[in-house]
Amino acid sequence: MTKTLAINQMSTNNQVIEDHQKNGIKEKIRSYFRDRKQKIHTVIYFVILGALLGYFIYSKIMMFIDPVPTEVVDYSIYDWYIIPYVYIIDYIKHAWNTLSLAFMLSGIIYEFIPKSVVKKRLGGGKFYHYILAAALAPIFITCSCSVIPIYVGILASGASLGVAMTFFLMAPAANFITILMTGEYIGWNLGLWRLGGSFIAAVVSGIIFDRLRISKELRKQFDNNITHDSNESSKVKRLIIDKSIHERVEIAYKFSWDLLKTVLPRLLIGLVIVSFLIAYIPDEWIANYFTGFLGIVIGALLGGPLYTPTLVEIVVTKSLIFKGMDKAAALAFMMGQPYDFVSMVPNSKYFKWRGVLVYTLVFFITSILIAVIYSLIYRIPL
Amino acid sequence: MKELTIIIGGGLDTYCINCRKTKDIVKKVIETKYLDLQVNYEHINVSRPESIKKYGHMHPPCIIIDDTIVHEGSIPTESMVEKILNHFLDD
Repeated sequence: MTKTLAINQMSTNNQVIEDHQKNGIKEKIRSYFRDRKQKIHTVIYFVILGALLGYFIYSKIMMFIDPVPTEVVDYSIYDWYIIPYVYIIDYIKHAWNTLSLAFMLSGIIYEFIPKSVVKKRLGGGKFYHYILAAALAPIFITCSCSVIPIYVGILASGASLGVAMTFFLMAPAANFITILMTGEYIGWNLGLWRLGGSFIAAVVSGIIFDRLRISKELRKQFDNNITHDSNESSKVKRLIIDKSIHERVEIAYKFSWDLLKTVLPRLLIGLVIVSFLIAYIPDEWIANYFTGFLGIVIGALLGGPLYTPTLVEIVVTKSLIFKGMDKAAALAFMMGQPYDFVSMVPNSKYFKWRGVLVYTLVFFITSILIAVIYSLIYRIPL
Repeated sequence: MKELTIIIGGGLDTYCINCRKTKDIVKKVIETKYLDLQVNYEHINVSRPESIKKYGHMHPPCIIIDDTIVHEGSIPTESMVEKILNHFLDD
């Protein structure tokens, strides 16, 4: 009896050892293939990135050497159910390169630029902090649940509320996708003016807001909630794992892909709506209301309340320009984006309604001013 | 059977979509590679004052194990989660 038991036990032991050995070999094979897969993925990623960049540069050079005039297309000749289809196909034909490049680059910026850069540089209330906040805003493309932590981070590093406001005003206007798409789809001229105008307006808003008493009150409130002794903060340990290039590429690629999945449905819906507007809005309306000084004011008025997801707004603007809107009015329209009604609600929590009023007025006035300057420089009749 | 408490940090009071993805990846790695690990998952809102007092400022989605911030700022890949867990299991 005992002998059999012993023999059974021995065989189980042997079995256990064999299993471990097999697992060892299986594990090695699996990890070998996983490493190969990772390396192949990284290479593919860079090849695609290179190809997109190459084509981008190539097409820019070709446009420079041999510019192709924009063809005028009248969409109302199609049946109504064909219009969105044709419009979207046209859009994809023009924008596929820039769009893919923009998404890939957002992933790269997300992963390869350390987020701690903001924490170190924004404390205090000096002038250059506002400029820095506005300049750094493009780096911070994040999910919507990160907005509060970013706000906390900026304040925790010692920055004033005005600096935070400048940051939040620049972020939608200056995020990477917006810049690239505006430049590509509407024109780099208008794109850069829009960027410059938003920059100025954002910095001015921040500075003005800081002069108000409410800014200091909010700051005090924040400091009271979040006092932490230096003892406690030294207790927090951080584990820094070395991230291999493959892991970083994987994170960048997944971020780009997630962004695409979020943005694309809204973009398509926006395009469908825009296609109908383009086909059916009579040209006389555009000529009457969207040109000259009246056009500038109406553009600035509309740009705010009309909530459009960023990429859609670019398409709307392009289409309106197409139908005869003045470039200056388009500039005023695009600059109105920060004061849309939807973002006013969360912003009122961070900056109170007084803050919202400040930046709305500043942006409104700046849009009109900059658009007027633009028309004077480019000889657009007012 | 080793026990571990893994805290996922996000910007909201509940799991936002990025935190959920982070938790899923951690769960997947544990269930395939570290079967004899007993894990407790918790969630904190990193923008709340209590969290800031305790951990300082963090960029979500982040992972905290054993009072140490092991990852922050992005959804980790499986290989990164493995490296982190190996670090805690070897100590």
